[in-house]
Amino acid sequence: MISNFVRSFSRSLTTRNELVHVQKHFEGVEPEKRDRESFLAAVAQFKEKRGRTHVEFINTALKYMKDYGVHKDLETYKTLLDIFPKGKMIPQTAFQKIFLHYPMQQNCCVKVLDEMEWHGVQPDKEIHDIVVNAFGEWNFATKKVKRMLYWMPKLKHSNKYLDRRHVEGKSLSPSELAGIALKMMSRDPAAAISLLKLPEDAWMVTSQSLSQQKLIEDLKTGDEIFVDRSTVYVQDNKIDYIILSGPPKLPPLEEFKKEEMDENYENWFEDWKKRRTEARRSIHEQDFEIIYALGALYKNDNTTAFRWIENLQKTNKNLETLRIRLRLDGNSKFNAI
Amino acid sequence: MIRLVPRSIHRLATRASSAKPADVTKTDEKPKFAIRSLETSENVEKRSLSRGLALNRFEKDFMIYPEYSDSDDVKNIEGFCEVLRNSLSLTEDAKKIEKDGELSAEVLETLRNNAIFSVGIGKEFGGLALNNKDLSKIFEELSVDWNIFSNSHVNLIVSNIITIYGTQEQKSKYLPLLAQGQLRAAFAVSATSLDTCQITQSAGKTLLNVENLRIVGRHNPNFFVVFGENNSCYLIEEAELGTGDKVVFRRDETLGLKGLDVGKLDLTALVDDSNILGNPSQGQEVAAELIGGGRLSFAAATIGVAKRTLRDLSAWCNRTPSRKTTRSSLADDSRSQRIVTDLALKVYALESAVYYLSGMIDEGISVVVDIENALISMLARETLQSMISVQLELNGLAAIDSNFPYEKNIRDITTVLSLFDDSNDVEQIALATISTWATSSSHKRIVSTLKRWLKNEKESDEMRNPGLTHYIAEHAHPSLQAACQELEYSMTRINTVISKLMTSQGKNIEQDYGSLEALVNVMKNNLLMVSTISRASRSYSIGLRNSDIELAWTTILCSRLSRATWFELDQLSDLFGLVKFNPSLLNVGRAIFDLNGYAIESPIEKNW
Amino acid sequence: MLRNLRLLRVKPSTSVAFYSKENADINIRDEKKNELKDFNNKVQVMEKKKVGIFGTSNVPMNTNFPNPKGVPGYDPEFSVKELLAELPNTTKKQSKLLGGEMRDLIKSAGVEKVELLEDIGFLRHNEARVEYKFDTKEKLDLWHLGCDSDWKEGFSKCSFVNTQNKTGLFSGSISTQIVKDGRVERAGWASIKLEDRKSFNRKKFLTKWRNFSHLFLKIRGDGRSYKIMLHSPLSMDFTWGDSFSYPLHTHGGPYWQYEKIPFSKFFHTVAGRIQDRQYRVNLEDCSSIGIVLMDRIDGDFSLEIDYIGVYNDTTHIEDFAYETYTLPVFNTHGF
Repeated sequence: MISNFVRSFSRSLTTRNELVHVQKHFEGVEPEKRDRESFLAAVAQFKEKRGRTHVEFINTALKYMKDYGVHKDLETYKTLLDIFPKGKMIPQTAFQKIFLHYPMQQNCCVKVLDEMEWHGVQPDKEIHDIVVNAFGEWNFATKKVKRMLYWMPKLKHSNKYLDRRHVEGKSLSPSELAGIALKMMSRDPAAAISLLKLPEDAWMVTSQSLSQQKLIEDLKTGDEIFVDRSTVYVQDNKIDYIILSGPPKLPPLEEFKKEEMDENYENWFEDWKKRRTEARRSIHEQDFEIIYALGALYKNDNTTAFRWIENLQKTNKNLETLRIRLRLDGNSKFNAI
Repeated sequence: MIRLVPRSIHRLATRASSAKPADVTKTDEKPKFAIRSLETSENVEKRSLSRGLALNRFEKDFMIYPEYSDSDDVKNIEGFCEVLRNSLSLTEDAKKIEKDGELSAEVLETLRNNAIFSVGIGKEFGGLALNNKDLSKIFEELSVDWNIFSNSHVNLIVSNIITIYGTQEQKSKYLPLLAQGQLRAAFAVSATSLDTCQITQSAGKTLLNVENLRIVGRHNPNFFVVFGENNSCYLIEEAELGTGDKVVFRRDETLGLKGLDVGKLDLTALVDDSNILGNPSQGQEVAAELIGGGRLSFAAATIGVAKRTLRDLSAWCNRTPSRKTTRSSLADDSRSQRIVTDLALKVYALESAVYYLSGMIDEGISVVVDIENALISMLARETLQSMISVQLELNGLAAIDSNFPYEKNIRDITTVLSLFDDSNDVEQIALATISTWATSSSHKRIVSTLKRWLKNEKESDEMRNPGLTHYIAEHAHPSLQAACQELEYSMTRINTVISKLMTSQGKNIEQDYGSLEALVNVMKNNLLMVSTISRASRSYSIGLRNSDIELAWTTILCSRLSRATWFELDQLSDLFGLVKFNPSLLNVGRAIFDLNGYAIESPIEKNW
Repeated sequence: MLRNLRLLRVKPSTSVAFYSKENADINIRDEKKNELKDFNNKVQVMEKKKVGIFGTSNVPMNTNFPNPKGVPGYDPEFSVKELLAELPNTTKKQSKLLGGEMRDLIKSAGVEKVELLEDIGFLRHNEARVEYKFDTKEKLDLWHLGCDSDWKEGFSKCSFVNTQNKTGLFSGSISTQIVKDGRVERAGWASIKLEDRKSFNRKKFLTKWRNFSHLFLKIRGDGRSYKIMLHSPLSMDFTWGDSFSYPLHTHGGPYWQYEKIPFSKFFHTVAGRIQDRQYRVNLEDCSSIGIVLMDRIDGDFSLEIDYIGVYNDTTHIEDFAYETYTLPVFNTHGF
């Protein structure tokens, strides 16, 4: 497949043996056909000719990477870095080691690595070996690769709330993304996330736990309960979600207990027993609202939210007696001031 | 911060010189799991980890956690396990297996499709020849049902001994059939007994005769591994039996593991030399290797089961309302958290040790792993027992309700524990270590009481404040410094105590079961400390997810284990001044046997 | 967050970046409206940068800055009339600050000097202290706001206001679109930075925190990953860009997030770039905290902060999380 592209390129561009501007390699492909294979084909075609202009070529290629959609692909970066001649640019004398040997090429390599870092692509041993073969073990560009190899793995999983491996490199459907987002946002380990598939590509995801169901049961008839919408980011995906919440019933939590140095030990045991059996405040009862459920819908408007509430009523009977205010659409009177 | 070289390259550089990948298949064919003596007093620490630690010698290569050198290998095995897991979850039906008493046809088909029966067999005989890390991962998946695991396990260990001891024709005859699962093996060795067959020799042929021989194996076995009175191991294939030979197998009813056959065999067969496995009179060794070869996979299966149990337990505890506090779940109770802590730490330690050991064997360097193997299976047994008790404590009534899957687990685990493994051979482990210790370091028995008393003071000070000599902390991540120091202290203490015991008792230590047992506990703790420290250091350096939790767990584990070790050793070193109570440990047990039971009078008994 | 905007009663104020007078003492937000009008008429793009002695360079060095503030267009000269006009305001503010300090000094002259006790080890497990709250406008004024559009290097927008829940809301939108002026390669950041000064513009160091093990924040984010920076510029000019950073990942959603970041995990950065030579953060050198958003994603963001404080966890024995390796002798670590 690649060789077909190469042949068509050669025919179209070098029929008259004239100088081809480097950009033509990439501009020549129509926008619809710009994808990974055509990019690799352009690179392969350049490599065939083996010109001296690899720095310009690589710089130009970098500009077009996003256009061709290969900016997150490790193999493409490897082929790009492979263009550098091996062994020629390794400093031999001490003088060469002190000063930046082949500065243009090294800066170009650093630009490629920078682009990799910007898009969050992690290099692996092969990239390190390619750069070492091109520039030597302790050179400016290889130091950048070594730094990337040290720091990127260390910080890759620093997010305790989201496992990137579930999101990166996968094309997830909106409902799957919504499920991941709800899992990230639900801080109660007992939260159960359920997906309801409706006909015609419609879906609704709900996240609710037992304690939330209990809280709904405790509500009295006629209490108000609100449905609002908000957005959350899962890596670079923006996901809309809805919150079922109500006014708080308990005063704001005293988060810090002042330590008292002279403690009163009378009735310590009974006090402790009483405190132990007392109802504990659940994580859903926040200072300014109580959160009864989280959800995500395929379409964010009041009618869909109503269907979602209806679905929730199957597990929370008490919802039927409450007054539900849907605030998804902009024209509700409870909306922003 | 720039790295010198990526860690894996560095490791390969130091190990590559001694690793000869072409030889890996050959080392597979050497017996490695039976405990033996190691006479080479030079560089003991390079050959055996536990012996080196007991001698207070440290080899820094042991602090490097073995891993796959190629990330593609990791992806391959994880993909394999994913496929296996999915296909097993589709076909596995626990209730059906229990009812039928055998693995259902779909399950067998799945196992065959995933080539499970051939994982331990070499490539030339139609197997996959997977390395130990792969095997451990696969058996973690297989333990989704203990029946599936035990059937594959039997296959693995029998093919293992045939690979090691078999002649070329035996291998080419039996191994391919085993790989396809057509030969269903059963063997006559159990955890506690080695029943043998009667042998009558006449005119070059041997007649094996036995009644009610207890065997364990795959359902409907047609391939038997039995041992003769003359200490030889015989392979009998049902299809090869001639007329006049008789093989009758009666199955017993077991509490759990209903998919595995445990029963009695009546055998009369005429065999010749081609049926002997290994050399004649190598039977005991073969039996030891048979059991020993299965320990790693058994431990791996334990890890798989434990991880699944922890996941189920956490789902259970998060959703069950607590009895003590209203509106809070069982997970908020400190008691539940404490109980699960113990199990989780055990699983973490066992997992580190299992993959450490399998990786060590895979690296192909000449490391003797017999003691570590035995210690790991002791740990696996402990973890299994702890799993049962945790389920009872936390699941409560659900643990015995037949509507929940927990009671099947409990039944299966108890059956498995009763069948497999005899590694609790404390004396063997301890004496192997001590004999190496005795040959490697010079010491003399000090008979003079005065000299012993003077040394006592110095040694007790060393026990309390051992200095750092090896600086293990330099080979691990700086955040693990506290854990490494605990390990060093433990090593110094064990050396001090053994030298004290040897100087005062010499060879008489053979009879001192208490000391031997304490020693084995200490060695187990040492192995756990080394494997968890190296694993946590590796995970933290390469930035694996949740690696800071690993660091915390390792630090807790090492501090607790070090204290436990100190306690055990302190007990042993309390030699002078007080009467040594350790021999009395066995006296109590001896009395029970001699007096036919508990012979102490009831407290309400009066004398007049 | 869109959800909380409906609760806003206060008009959001815009960010200000160009200072033409001494900044920390004066409440500049109202003053700036006049100056902004003047500036908007001049052409800002393609403005010629003042060249330093050793050529143009962006490294935070003394000789690279055209003026002490490091800002193009900063003109510290102002007429005597303006000075005299400012005097009453300045004296009022400074004397208030000075008075506060004297009172603190006298109060702490007693034996119960908190840090001394903490140094000995009096700090127990699970002890926490809240340092910076965001409930009133004065508390918010301590924090300075900035984004790339202020420096004409991008098109992001940001704002930092009070909400009805007595918290601070840092919101806006990031745009990675690059200004086509040839010198900017990447764009898209917004940040808030603490500028808590003692009287007469002296730096306040975070020495009080040195015995605690974790940085403690109560925030409600939107799933984006922010960055916490503990700035520690010292007197030498090559330390002016020093900071210690760590990512702050938020899980979004309506639940409040209690984030505890151990001080041992902060890594050393200079002007945002991770350095080769790493060492543990020394809280006695740090004088400011910043929260930056620079996650290369186009879109709106919002971060609601309730308080920032410290927490002590005695089981956290780690000193520094990043191990170093031995390097060849003539390898430069960089500064």
